[in-house]
Amino acid sequence: MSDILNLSGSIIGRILLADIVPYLTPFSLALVITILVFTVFLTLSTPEFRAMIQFKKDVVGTSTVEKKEARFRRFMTILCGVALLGVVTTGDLFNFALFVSLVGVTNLGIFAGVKDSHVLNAAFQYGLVIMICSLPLFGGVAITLARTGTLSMGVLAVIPADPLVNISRALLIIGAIGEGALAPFFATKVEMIRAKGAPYINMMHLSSLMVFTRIIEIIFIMG
Amino acid sequence: MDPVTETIVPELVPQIFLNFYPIAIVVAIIVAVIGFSALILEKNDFQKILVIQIPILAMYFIVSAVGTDLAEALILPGIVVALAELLAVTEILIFREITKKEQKKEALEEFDFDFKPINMEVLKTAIPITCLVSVIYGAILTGFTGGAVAGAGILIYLFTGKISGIPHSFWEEMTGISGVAWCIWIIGFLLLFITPQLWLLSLFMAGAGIIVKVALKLGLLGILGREEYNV
Repeated sequence: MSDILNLSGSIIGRILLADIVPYLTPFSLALVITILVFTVFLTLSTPEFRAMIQFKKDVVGTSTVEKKEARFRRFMTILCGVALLGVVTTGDLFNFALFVSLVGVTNLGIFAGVKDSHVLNAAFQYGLVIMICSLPLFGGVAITLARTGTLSMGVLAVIPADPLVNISRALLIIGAIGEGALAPFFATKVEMIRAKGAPYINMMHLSSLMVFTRIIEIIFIMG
Repeated sequence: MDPVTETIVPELVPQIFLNFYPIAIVVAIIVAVIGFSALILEKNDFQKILVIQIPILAMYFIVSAVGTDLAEALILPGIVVALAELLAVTEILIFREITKKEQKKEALEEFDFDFKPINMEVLKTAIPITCLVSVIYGAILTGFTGGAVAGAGILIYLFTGKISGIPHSFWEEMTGISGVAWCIWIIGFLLLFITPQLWLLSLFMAGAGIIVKVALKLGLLGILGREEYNV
């Protein structure tokens, strides 16, 4: 675990909890601070008042989310923040996969209460994508385990990559892209973020950013 | 923790599991291909949820093919995650159907009023020229800026020249073309990285893709309009 990677700097600290070995580097510390600040900011903020204009008519007004719905979304936002903390600090490949799946489910939860059939339709498509992408995500982890016999990133950093590990790296990238709604899949996200209740929706962007950053780091660790 | 460099596969795994592993992976790939093709062919949303269990079954295959105690410990969280996702997606599907019914009732209560466009000469002549100029200029610029300029030109034409009567299917087609252009852009990018010899082709693919994609961003406005009328 000492020479995990020169990319993210030396390890500041880690928690030895049997298999679960979260660790902090200067790089991941920056990500953790960003996530904490963002989550606290979103938790304290109130839902927006959105201006509504109807096409071809003189109808202008504001609308906002109901209190009950806003409370549920705030809860999901906090949960998403916790899952993101797990994503950026975990030292175990399988835990990474689980946390990324949790990010996907909580992202879905933020949009579950929106009373707009188009947003719900997009959320449904996104749900299908995250279900499909659990196949490459967990498959990549399992192939890594079968080839190297370990899931610890500290050990994986030392083992040189061979074709089978490269396949699992590619699978992990595909899985993380689907779960975090990255490049080709963010068409669904574009539809979803037009839902009401702006501050909580921003969590989805943060989660995409963090999952993307972390998956690239893991690809380098496994290489 | 010493690095495992001598033998990458642990010695404790019995030989029989090592022999079965490639077979299990091949079976999982076959199952996944069957599941994905079924998912592409299926149109009903509810059926899609049922069919999607087949690729997840392939995921169980790959995880359990490891065949050690650790695999057993890994498959349980995998099942829990799959169940949680299934529940969430099903809940969204139910909620969407309920919302659709409510919205249909509201749509009937809306009132209509007559709206006639102003009949002016300048609206019929100046707008096509402005549109044409900006589209040509956008095509010369190419890329993101060109797409924005061309899109603005098309937007002027659609919004002022032809106030009513843009069919709903037109916006859908716009979105479709935009998606295809996006794919061309991504393929051009990939080619640039995989085969740098084909840089000219990939450059043109990326440039042409992004200009079409950005120009058709106005399709989003059509989707907004669609929501207002609950089409």
